[in-house]
Amino acid sequence: MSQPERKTLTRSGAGGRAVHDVGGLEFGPVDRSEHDLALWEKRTDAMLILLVGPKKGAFKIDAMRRVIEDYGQQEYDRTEYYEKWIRAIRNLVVEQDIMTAAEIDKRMAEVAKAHAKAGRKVSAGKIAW
Amino acid sequence: MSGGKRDHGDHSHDDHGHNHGHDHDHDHGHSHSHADAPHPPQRDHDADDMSAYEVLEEAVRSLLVEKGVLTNAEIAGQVDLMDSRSPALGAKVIAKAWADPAYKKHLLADTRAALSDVGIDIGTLADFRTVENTPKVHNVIVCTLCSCYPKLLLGIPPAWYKSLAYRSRVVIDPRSVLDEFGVRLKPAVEVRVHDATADLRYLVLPMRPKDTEGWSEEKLAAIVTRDSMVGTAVPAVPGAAAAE
Amino acid sequence: MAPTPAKKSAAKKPAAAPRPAAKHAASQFRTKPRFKLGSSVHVSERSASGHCRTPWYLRGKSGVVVAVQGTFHDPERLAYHRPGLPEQILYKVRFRQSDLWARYSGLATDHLEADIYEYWLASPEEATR
Repeated sequence: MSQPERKTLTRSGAGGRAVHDVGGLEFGPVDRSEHDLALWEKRTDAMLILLVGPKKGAFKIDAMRRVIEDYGQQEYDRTEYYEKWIRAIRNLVVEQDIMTAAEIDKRMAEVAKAHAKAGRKVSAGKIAW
Repeated sequence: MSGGKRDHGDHSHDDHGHNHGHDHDHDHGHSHSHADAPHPPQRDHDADDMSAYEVLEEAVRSLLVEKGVLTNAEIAGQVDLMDSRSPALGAKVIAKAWADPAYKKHLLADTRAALSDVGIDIGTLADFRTVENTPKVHNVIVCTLCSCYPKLLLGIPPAWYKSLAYRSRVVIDPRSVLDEFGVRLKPAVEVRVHDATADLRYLVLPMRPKDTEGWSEEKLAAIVTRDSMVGTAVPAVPGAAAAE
Repeated sequence: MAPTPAKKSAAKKPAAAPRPAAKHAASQFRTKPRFKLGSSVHVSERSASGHCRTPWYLRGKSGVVVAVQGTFHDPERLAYHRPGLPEQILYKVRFRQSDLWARYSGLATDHLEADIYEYWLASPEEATR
């Protein structure tokens, strides 16, 4: 077998191998199980495509990638795909002055409260921006 | 960074393989243009459990709508558009290329135009390229840096395509990965890996299996799988042994 | 590179026209490609201090141009909300797998191809200088 670099190798960017740049590392067997997307994931996909599209032009897909690459290694490796995306969209709409972080915090609290009131269990987890 | 504790903190990329029996009440209404049974969504939480990220999605979406940046109709329309793109659509294109040498030539020379000819608009975000498998070369596609994929033809990529394991390993050890996927190549076949690092998305044109002479495009399309258009599978005639 | 001053609102300020599809014909290039089909090229080993699309495992490696893909806006600038100019010529470069990895286990004829922007590439003469 070709010799992979250890996956424990630090991928810290800043001139070295960046966090997303994983070609040639070792992460074990490929999990081939199939998954359907939840509606929130499809909507996240849809929002991103619309925001980077020619009609809206809020930012480029390249900026989206940059923000995803800003993650720390641990967070990058364990965060799900569309979790990375919605966090990046959030950071970019703030960066582009489309909305403020405070507005999003406030709305998140309202959304969580509304769903809890409707009987849905809402996670108290925090997202590392 | 707030450094706050993450919900589902013990879930890594590699652990969504659990099957769970309960029903999921979301979005199965219009998402299956192919015949597969519904698969579990990516997280193994209870169906009505809401993660912080899902809360964030609703918050950002409602603010974008409120501020007039996007409309709910645009978002729903885009969700529907993506639901309409699927491996079945790609399979039709491949079957047409198998059946019609002029179309195959066109697809290989100018994928955007060839797709447009059959009514498939791939948008402005990226151009497509088609790479052809031959008796001497087997192509396999990856995006090591993120998850570039011909989404506007094949739909949203499978979880494995986006996984760290596939992205990291298929460039350094493609033959082991192909082996895991069950691809058996004839001994002297070159494996050619394409890392989609820029503004181009890659589609594999698989080899037409033997014993398919005279088949209709519809019958041919039925044996073209999603993975065969990524290079991690080879189309096979049911009942026949496959080797490329 | 720091993000540029943000736009006030994506809704109020629609983006520029969509990026045109890449042109295949050499006559369409605004600047003449430095390399042609069959040219040997060497990928720069320089570090990138921000978003870039040249994978770590290809830096410092040599390959051969197998396609001149067209002219594209520069992702390293688009990522920071800049216009992505000057545009960059993109090449498809073919590498021998045995040149990329210390102990590649496949066939000597196995290859890997990746799309690399011109400013990451040098001729063999430039590379040895």
